[in-house]
Amino acid sequence: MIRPYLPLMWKLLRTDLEIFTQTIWDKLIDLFIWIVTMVLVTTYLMPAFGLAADYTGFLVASLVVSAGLFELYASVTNLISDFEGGDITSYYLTLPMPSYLVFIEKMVYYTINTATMGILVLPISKLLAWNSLDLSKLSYGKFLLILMLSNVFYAAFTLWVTSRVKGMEQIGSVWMRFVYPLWFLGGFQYSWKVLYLFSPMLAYISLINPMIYVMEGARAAVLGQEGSLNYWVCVVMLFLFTILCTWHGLKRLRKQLDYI
Amino acid sequence: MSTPLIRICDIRKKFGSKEALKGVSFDLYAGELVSLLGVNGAGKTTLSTIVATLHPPSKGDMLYQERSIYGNLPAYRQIIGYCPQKPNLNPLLTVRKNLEYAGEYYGMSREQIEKRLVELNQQLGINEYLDAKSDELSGGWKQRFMLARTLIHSPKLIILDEPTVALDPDIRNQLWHYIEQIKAEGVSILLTTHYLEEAERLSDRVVVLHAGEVKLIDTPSNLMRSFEKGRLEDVFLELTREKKDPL
Repeated sequence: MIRPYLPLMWKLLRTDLEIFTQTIWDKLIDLFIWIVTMVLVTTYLMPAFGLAADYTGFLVASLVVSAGLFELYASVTNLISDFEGGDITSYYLTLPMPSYLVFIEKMVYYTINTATMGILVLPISKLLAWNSLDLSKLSYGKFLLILMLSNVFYAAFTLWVTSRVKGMEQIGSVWMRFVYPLWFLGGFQYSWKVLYLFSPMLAYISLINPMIYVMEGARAAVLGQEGSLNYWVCVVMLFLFTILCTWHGLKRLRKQLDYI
Repeated sequence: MSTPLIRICDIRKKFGSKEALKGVSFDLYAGELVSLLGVNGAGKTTLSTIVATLHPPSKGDMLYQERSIYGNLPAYRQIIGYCPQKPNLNPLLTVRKNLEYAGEYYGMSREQIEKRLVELNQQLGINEYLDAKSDELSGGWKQRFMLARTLIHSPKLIILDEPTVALDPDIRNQLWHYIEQIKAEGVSILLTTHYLEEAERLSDRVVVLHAGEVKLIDTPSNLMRSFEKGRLEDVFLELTREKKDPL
């Protein structure tokens, strides 16, 4: 079904990537500031307050897969402002292909955009933390898979969040209502097993938060399976959440934009 | 005239409980320019976005080569070009890139695009600002490049939604000249306009829409003759006055 339209989707993607290259340095600077502050404070300052020395590895695994989530706000803002004024999307929606593929292409672009940022987190963090970051249990295959899958999920989640935001006047809520609670309650600073020890009920409730699988999967890939949810369970659950967000996001966007 | 290029069959469009189009039907022939006229809220833009396949109708159908366009939407989209009311060139790319990429989206090769850009330059005189970004252009130039993008893949039908709105009279005149040239090449045009002078000068036929319904379809000269008026504007004013009288 999609095959005849792949050349057109590739051309749309190439257009987006050309625009991405115009902003990549700004994005890299932002990313660098974020990693440096997080890793330096966690590695060199927080142990003085009693934080476990191996917490750097725990945090870095979370940072790798969080980088993409922070792009979500910008992506949603761009889409909403375009729907309300720029209208470039409406041009794409008249191109010779099924309209929904415009948004599938956007998902591919968002994935490449955020995965490019995410993949840089680990080497930069290693340079900053050096001996404090033990990567002896890192599985490159698992790491790349969870990185890609988490960023595909963020792309689908971007569509879903966009479909939930009514207009630019609501854009401020994206961070506080969607990104922040999911991220902070998604095990960025704690593992699911620790939460389970604290409260099994809360731990089970948190399993409806897709970020749990993002964080736990990343830690299983970077630090080894011990202490994390099963890596393959995380992969399957992320896949399912991605399908769900894509399906529901596209359905709502179709209603919102009234495209064919 | 021969077989129609497209047939608009009983198109209806509802937005919630409001019916914006109440069963609009007419044919558009190859090489013909049909203007959609009507007061604000008559349904002109709604109809043009449906013809451009930006939005679906709530009911009704559109036929291209006697087949529903909704059976093979990409094939129909390949033969149309849509120029919306508000210019939507990508401001982060140069106008040249906007045009080149638009050509590629329609499957044109680099050579075909280069050749087409030369033709469009001869027709629209676009070379001067090809390497500028759209934000740096005046309204008239933006609209000229929008026309160029609409035409890049040599469509059979173009949909122009108020292309001259908010432009100076001299620039409007220039765009009318371009539209006449495009028509002379055999391209069918569906033109939405507020300017009756524009419709009178350019149209083969005008479709007067009122409250989502087709009130009249005829050539400007026939309308002026039957209403015994010297200008299309006077015909339109009489028609809209008739609508207001009972109130």
